[in-house]
Amino acid sequence: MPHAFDDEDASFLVLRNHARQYSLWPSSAVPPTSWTVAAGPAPHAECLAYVEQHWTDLRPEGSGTPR
Amino acid sequence: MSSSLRGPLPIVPQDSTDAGELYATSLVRMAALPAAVDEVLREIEDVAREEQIPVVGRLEGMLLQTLASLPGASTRRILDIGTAIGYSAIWLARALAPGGRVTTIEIDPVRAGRAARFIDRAGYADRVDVLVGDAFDMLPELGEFDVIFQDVMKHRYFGDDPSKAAELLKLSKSHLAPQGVLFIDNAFCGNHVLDEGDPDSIEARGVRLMNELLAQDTDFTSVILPVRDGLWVARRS
Repeated sequence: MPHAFDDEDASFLVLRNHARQYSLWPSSAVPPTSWTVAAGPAPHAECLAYVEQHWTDLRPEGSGTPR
Repeated sequence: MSSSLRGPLPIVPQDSTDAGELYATSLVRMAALPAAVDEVLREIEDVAREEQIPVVGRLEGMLLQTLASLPGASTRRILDIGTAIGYSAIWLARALAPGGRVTTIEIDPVRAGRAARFIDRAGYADRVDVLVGDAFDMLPELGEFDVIFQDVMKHRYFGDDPSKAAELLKLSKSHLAPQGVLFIDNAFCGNHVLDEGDPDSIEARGVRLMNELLAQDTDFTSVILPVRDGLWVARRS
């Protein structure tokens, strides 16, 4: 059985951190509270497409400054 | 076979086989940690063993916390380069003076998310920021730090060009506050830097170059602590 984070047939969430950077997260697991759910649950490919569309500037936004 | 075709070197295990280190580790395990922190650290140690994710382990984790906390109230901004799944960030968060923050950078977004979840569970989400990206792109966007812990995946950063190890050292130094402390893990590169005659990998050549530069840098008072895979402790003048 593939690991939950590697199982591309499973359902995923798109997470976003405070610096507007993205990661995928399996829907079956509890996501980190410090990150926001930006999209999903959706198939892996759909989540990846969302990230590619929205994460255009790879630099962290507003990091190094107090929140 | 050319060294560039050898691929990444195997990860250095978190568990030592040295008798003295094992004894010291057994004492670290007696340390009173908050239950949530201890539980999360144990879980990360198990996940790391199972998935071959490099983490520093209990002995070096406690060593980092202890050394990073020595300046006391002036340990306010800590940078952790190479989060993996958050193990060292948790130890470093424990060294912060009240109101301080750890910024931790991970190149793999999925690992960064997993780190954020472990850090939440340990109770440190309020003082640790997990960022995603390559340190060379990210560091110029960040400010100055009192403590920097450099623990990158060597094959990702200097597996194709040993001079990048020197560049990363220079970049880290440029973000280190006066009197700040730089830690660099895996100074021995899985013992591949020890034998000059050994046909080594590009990443080992990078680490050897970085080691020699740091040893000769007059802006630092520095030494490799020969614990586990070698930990550079370098204090900026």
